[in-house]
Amino acid sequence: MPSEVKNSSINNTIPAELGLWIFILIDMCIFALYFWVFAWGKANNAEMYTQGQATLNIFFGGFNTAVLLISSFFIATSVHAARLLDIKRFQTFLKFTILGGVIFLVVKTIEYQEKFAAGFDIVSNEFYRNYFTFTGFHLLHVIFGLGFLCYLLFVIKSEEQVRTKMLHIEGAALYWHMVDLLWVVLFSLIYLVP
Amino acid sequence: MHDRTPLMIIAVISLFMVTVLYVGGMFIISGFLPPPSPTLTELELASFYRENRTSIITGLTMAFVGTGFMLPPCIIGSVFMSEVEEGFPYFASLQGLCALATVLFTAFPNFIWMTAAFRVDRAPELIAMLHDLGWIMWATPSWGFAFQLLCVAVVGLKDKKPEPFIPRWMSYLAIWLALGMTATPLVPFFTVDGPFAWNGLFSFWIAFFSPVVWIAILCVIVILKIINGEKQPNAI
Repeated sequence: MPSEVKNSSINNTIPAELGLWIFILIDMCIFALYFWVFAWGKANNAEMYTQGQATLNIFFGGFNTAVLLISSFFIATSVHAARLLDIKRFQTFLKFTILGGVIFLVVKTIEYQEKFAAGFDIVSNEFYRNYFTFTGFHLLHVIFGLGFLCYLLFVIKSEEQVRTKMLHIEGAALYWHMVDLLWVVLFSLIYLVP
Repeated sequence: MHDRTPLMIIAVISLFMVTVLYVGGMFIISGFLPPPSPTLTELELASFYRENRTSIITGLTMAFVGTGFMLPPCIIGSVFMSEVEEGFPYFASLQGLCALATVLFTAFPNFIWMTAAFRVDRAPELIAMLHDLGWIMWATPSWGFAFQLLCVAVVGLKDKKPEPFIPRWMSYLAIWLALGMTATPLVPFFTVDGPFAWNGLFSFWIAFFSPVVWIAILCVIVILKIINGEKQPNAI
């Protein structure tokens, strides 16, 4: 069994670095505001939100939730492999994670296309404004996350690079988990809550 | 290497001038805080400009003078960034150029609103059009400032000095602020009140005031450096 990385944050109290945790905390606070805006709008105009929710494709939403949850498992496995300096396994699971992100992107594009074809867009009504903007901002986070993951894939190719860039690996994984968590709440709030 | 304290003092004084002239003029004297709702009718807007003509022009004149003071701290920031970068100071140069874009797009709307207030007896629809043009130009193009923040963050994270010029968490905050700017391009979509209208929670209150908080923290860090003196300046 390969030896573990000695100088990574595995030996410290928290993975990645403090600044990234602050970033995640504040970003999640902003999403909490999105959730509040949605819930407040729904409380004031329940009928519009119920009608809007009925037009959403719950299959696409559910499928994307499963894809992101599985990709989160892949990135966790990839980080574990990196800590064991198992480069091949690290890269394989990183590629699976990226594939998950790309599938999410494609499905979301199809879903948006479906809505545009049905005549709904960002200014149709308050429900669609919230639906497009909140899921759109989340999609931007997915795109940024894919950028970080691709950076890891192209930059880290040796054990030495894993040793020196362990904080980058953990940081990207942490960010990806946040993206996943935010989607689970968004999906529940927008697609499921009656 | 040279003593950077005078540059830091100039940056702090400039930021103070921006606060007094821009914030005071634009938001207190002109009466643009909170921003007028996009739902106001043409007649209501014309009457707003007629009744507040002198204070609007006074406040906006102060504000556009204030925008000029945004450049010194940005360029001084570029100087410090270039000392961290190896080789050609790409991010420092980009930050400086984007600062110019930020200053211009912050200054232009002042002239547009001043034009609206210049002849208040003209047709209300013309005043309303100038008013809308000013607000859309003010609230929408945030890319310059977002790129500035990203450049600062990249250089801040690359800074491997034992005591970096800005703490690493400030770089992460800068990245978050740049992400937070992504709400502003939605402004032209909404002619009704809401979180993404030009007076909305995300497009105005968060997109404008969160960078203000970041700059205030940066200002405190710089003032502390001035008071305590820099330790190991330029040691890499």
